[in-house]
Amino acid sequence: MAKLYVFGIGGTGSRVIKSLAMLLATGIDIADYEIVPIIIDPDEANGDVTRTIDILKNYQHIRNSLSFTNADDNKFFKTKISDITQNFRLVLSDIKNERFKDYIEYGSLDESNKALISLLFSEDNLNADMEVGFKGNPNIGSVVLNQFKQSQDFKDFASSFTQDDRIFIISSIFGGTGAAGFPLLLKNIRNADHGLSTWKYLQDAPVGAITMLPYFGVSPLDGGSIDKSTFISKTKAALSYYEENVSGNNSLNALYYLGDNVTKDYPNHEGASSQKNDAHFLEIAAALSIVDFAKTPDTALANEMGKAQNPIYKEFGIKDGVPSLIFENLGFATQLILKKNLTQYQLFSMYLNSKIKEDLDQSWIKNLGIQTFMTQPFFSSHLKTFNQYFTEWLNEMAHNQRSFAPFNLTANDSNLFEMVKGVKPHVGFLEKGTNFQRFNYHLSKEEKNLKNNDALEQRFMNLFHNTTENLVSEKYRF
Amino acid sequence: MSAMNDFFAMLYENVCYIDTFQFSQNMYDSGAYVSIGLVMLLSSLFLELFYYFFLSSYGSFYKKIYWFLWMAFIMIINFFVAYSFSLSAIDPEATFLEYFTFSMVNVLWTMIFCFVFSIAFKFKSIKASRTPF
Repeated sequence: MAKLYVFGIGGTGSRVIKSLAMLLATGIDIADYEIVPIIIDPDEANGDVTRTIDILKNYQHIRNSLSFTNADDNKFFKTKISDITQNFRLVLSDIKNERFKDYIEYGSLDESNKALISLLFSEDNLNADMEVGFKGNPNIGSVVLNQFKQSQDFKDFASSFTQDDRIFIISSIFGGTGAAGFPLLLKNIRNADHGLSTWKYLQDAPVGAITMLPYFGVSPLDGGSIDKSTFISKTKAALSYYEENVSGNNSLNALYYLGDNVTKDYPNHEGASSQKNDAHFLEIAAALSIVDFAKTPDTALANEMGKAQNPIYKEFGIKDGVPSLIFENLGFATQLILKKNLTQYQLFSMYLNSKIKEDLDQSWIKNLGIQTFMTQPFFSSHLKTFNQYFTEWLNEMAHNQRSFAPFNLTANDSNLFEMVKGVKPHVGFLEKGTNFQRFNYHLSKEEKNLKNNDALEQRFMNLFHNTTENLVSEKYRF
Repeated sequence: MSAMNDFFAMLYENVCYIDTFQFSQNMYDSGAYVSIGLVMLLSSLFLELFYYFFLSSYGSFYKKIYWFLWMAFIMIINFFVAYSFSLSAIDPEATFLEYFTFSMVNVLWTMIFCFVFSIAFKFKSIKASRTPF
């Protein structure tokens, strides 16, 4: 199976990988690629990063218990996510507890070099503690991240790369880590060390990237080093640099741009565990760019001597520019990808989060022995945790600006199928059961079709995938 | 017809033969066993079919308590069927106690057949495949 290496740089990179994991859990097709996420963030305790890593680990645990042969109906968690680095992170050495001036050995420079450094870096830059990242300073990031090539994790990635693999890079352009890291990473891939047996594959690898233009702000903070008023000027400066050194020299096969003029100010945290920004619709859109890139035919991504022959540039649009998006506000192609899978998984998640414990007398639960199954780690730990993250993810997007709220998240046993906003659920004549009773009717019906020789985890997921597929088709005609 | 009369007479009289004023003999001679027995058998069959393949799919009707209530409903129907059919067949030759006793025997057979049909149907039922156990 060919691999798609997804580099997520900085907090935005982690959040996009999180959205990608959520979409893959719902069964969105990514052209049979195995996804290898690699997070690049010097801020080890960053809340966004740790949350994403936990999500990816739970995804892996769930997927490892399942099989995906042609005989298996389940498509939830279909795509394999693997890791080549510890905790999906590319470790940057020598930056822990270190000020930038120490990193560049400022003290040992002669006077003329010190003067040059003073032109490029402010006093605050020089005294910046890099343990929590580059705090919106790409000029620091561009120096520190230039050590990619020496990193053992990067070498491991480079040596595992094969001819059929692809690379995708996620970064934001208005911060520090992403804006600096993206062109450096790209440069290091295209100019891979010729001592590596795979250098030619890397040089001519299909590489795509998404650069996130400003889509959120940060609250003003006295003495804070991140100031949202600089976001636009930083974006312009970076775009101007990319014009020459990224798109201008055809280093990329596909470049996606995303941004929004409707923004919300997040709390101003410089990093560490408190930097845990809410999920945003644009992160789904960014994850969809990875899906789009994976589905782009090889012929459209050809390279010669590390130069793309036909570089592709894409933007993303929505049908209606409303402050709160539902499915029908999205473009037709986006709706086609998202609405069936997300609705299926949301039904699955709702049942597991709020109903299954009340329904232990259902025949399908008794027949499958679900009560014991619910105490096993697959269910009680990994699936439960993943679904809690899934609900949290939907909640955060629903309360962000611009919000993405396709579901009525308070739907319950009295109005379950009114959960998809803007879609009137179909109700059949003499329909057997309403709301969760209807759900249980389909579960009981589908349970009779399960293959007894499958593992219980497999039967459980097959059951819910088929049931939610039937319900989505019956109620919404998706 | 005679075979059916013999069959139902066997069911009823093996449980409780009532010979006061020749109640059982009169019931046999009038052929009332056949009509009462057929109603008992067919109502148990079709009402259990209705329960397992229709009613149990709605709301909480798959639960054991509703299965019991549904069976009680079928038994009550068959009590009155037995009572009224026997009354009209051999009236006024027997006492209330004899009609009542015979009706209760019919209720007992209703319960037995309902249970047997439940076991037969439950495996194919969608919601009630674990009802009553």
